[in-house]
Amino acid sequence: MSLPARIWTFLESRAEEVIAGICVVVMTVLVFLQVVMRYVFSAPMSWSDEIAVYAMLWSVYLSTSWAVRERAHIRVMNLVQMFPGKMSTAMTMFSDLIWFIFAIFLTYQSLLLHLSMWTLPFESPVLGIAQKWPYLCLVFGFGLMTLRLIQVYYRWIRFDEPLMEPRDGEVSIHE
Amino acid sequence: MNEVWFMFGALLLAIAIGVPIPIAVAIATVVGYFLIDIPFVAIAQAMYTGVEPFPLLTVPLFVFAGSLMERGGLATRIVAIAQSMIGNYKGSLGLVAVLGCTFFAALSGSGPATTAAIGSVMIPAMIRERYDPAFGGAIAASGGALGSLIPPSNLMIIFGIVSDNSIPRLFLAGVIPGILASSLLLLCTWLIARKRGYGGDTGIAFSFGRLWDAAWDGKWAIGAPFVILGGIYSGIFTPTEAASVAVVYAFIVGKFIYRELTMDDIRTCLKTTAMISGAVLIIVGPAKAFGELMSLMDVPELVGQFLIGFTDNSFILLMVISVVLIITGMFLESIAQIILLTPLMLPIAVSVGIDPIVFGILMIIACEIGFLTPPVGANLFVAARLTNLGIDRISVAVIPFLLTYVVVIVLISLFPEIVTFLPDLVYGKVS
Repeated sequence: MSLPARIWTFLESRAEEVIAGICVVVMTVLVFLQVVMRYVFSAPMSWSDEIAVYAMLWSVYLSTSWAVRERAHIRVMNLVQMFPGKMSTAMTMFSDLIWFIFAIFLTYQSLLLHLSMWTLPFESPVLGIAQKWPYLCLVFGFGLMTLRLIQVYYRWIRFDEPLMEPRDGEVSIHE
Repeated sequence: MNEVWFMFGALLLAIAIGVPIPIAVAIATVVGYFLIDIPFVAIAQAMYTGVEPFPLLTVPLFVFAGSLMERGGLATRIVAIAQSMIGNYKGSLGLVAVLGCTFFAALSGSGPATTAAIGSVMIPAMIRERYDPAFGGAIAASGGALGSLIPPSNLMIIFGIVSDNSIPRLFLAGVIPGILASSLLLLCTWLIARKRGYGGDTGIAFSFGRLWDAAWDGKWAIGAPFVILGGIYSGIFTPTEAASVAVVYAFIVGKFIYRELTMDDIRTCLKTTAMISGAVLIIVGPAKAFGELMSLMDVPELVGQFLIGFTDNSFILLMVISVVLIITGMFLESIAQIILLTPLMLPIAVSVGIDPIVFGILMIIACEIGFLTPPVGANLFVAARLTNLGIDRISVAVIPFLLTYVVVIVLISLFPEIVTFLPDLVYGKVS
């Protein structure tokens, strides 16, 4: 595969998954490092907690978009499945349409929030990081969620991938 | 007041037609914003600030640790220890499964993860001894629910964050109810298995030599709760730091001592963790916004007046609250249930003198019952996948075990000291 094709496949199938996974590793390492620094080097760090929280925010909002592609979001399908085949597919499409419209709405509101921080700068108390940057996770999360919803339908029509159940059985999704 | 009905109507309608639950909660919140003229951008703000509290990191970290322990060979060692403790007679494998879940619950913070870890070892073993697969699945599902009651517990962390209670205190409060629930599950398993004459014709009888061998082989698995809980209670680290220590511990034991973790396993564990963040933790932001809006509309006071109009007897009130929590728990995902209902119902409980910790434990047991009931029972789904049976078969077989949790709720409502004894002993009474 050529390089551009490879990059495309990566973006198309698992970009958020990989970044969210890296965020989880960063979270673990930073929190653990805090313990090590405090006890082994007696030099507690002031910056690690804040960065760990940013990593959590990014991992949550990126994987929420990835969970769309995997159809892993928690939804109550009992009522929908009580209807005969075509009807229940139509109902699923209807709830996805509402979801899609709302995802656009959330992207727009997140973008407004982000832009408002350009005019009214807001910095974190400890590290003085301009909050507009971490807040971008919402814009990316919901923006990508919107694109992933389109992709689910594209792959359903094109490759007959499942519309109504999780794509990948090996990952358990509930708390 | 009409605004509240519109919000609940929007929420129920959206959930019923299959909109994912976090999105449904966000839609209902926006409907509320529209009705009482709050700028919509507040929803984006709440989505961010909801996931911002530092203690929330504990949840994904414990999920990560639990899944490393499952794949790194700690679960099989724990089963071996439980097996050597129980010996061999009628129903013994069922008892091993419950005991294995109880031990694994002290490593893991999650109910479904405990079901998966122990069930994947014990369900095939029980089927080999000609147990009814549905019965085996029911044992793993109900035993797995202990994962949220015996510390560490993700649900307690969420409750602690929402209700502003100490997480170590909540963890301690879960110990006696956890042991109680585990004993009742053991009893229930033994009675059913004996009546149906399951197993007991193969395997090795109990001996101290065998117990010692299993314990020695599993010493790193037994060590995990000592490191995690010992570290928290000796004040060496906070629960969040303990979770990161648990990840590192599970990684080192699985990778370098038991040598069972492959790079592929680690990737799958990261995927599981990210998936739980994306599909489950995403509820935190919208649920927080929804809860704040409910408070703004004085809903907790209204619900409180309604319930207290019924009775001011704390036992009856606790039972009423439990029934409400069990019913809502059947339809809501557990984290969503805690974030949505705690601000609504905790003030009522506190106003009649119920300890918030007691309320929290009841909330968590109600969530566990929710784990075991369709339509959204997470443990049932895991058990169904492990047994290749339908949810319907397992949800029938699980009923006797589910009743044991109801018994625990009644006992706690009668004697709240079951919950408060240990935390009061260690930390002193909260005035």
